[in-house]
Amino acid sequence: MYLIVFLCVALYSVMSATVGVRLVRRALPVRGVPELLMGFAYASAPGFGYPLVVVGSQVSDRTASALLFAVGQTAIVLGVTSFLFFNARVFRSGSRLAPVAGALGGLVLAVASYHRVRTHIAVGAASLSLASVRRDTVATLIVLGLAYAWTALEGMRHTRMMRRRAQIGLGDPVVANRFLLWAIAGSLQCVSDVVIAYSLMQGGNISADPLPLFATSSVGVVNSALLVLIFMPPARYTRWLAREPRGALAAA
Amino acid sequence: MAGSAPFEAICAELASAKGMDRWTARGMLQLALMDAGLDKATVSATQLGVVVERLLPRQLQSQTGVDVNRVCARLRDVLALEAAEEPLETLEG
Repeated sequence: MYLIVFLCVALYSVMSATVGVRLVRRALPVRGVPELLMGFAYASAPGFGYPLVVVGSQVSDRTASALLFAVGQTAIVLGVTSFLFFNARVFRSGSRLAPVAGALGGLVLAVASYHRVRTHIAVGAASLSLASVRRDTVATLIVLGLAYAWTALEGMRHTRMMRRRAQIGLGDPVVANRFLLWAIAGSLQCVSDVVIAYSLMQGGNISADPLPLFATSSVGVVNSALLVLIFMPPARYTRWLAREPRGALAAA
Repeated sequence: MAGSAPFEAICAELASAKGMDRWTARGMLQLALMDAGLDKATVSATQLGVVVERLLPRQLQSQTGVDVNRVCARLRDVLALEAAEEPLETLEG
């Protein structure tokens, strides 16, 4: 079972790193800020941050373990903060409150991660059993869950707008479908974070209990596929969307 | 929140029509944009052209004393000028 979970999460990390690096490479020549923020978010947090934290927790050498864990946590904080600023920039570009919300989220993550790293250096991999570390992890998950919920709601709002545009012959079915998939990915990730946070608050072991493991692995696999369809859609898929525009806005 | 340049331009044009005022024109256009799933801050002249063609006439018919065909023709003229100044690509593209 652990092997399946590991493979699912590893797949999500690999896909995130691939999509993230690709988006950053696409953004740099044209100075595309939204693509840069999104690419950096995926490459930094799920692409490199999470694997480094996991590996850092398994390494027996204390110095190497602390270094990997700290670098991984920093990558997660920077990645998720970038994700929050992507939401603010793309979906709420005229709002003054949105960047403030993004900065606040980043600050909470930074404080929680700083404490987790300090405790990891002092105690090692067993630090997750400490109440204070569990509290910091729940705080991190709450910020993450809110970020994904924000994404999901904006995705749903834009899907609804795209559906109305389609009725008068406006809009691109590929873009419309991207918003729909974006909403689904955000919703799933939000549910997964809620399950993991609940498990932690109940005193569970998120690395061993079936429910958080199932949430992490299943959402990891589904979101890997969604990342491909959103950011690197196969030609056959985009042809299908163009041929069957209603399919682009189905479900939801 | 301010509207895009084409939105503001046709708002002003619509407000100058007989039987209309600034607030009625703005509200009517905003309702049409909502029906079309468009945002006034980012709507382009091309998108507004479709709204004027497909949705606005129905709304204008409820306004007494408005010559719908004439008003829509004037709005299309304003949008043609605005479209000439628009960049070719949008963020969503």
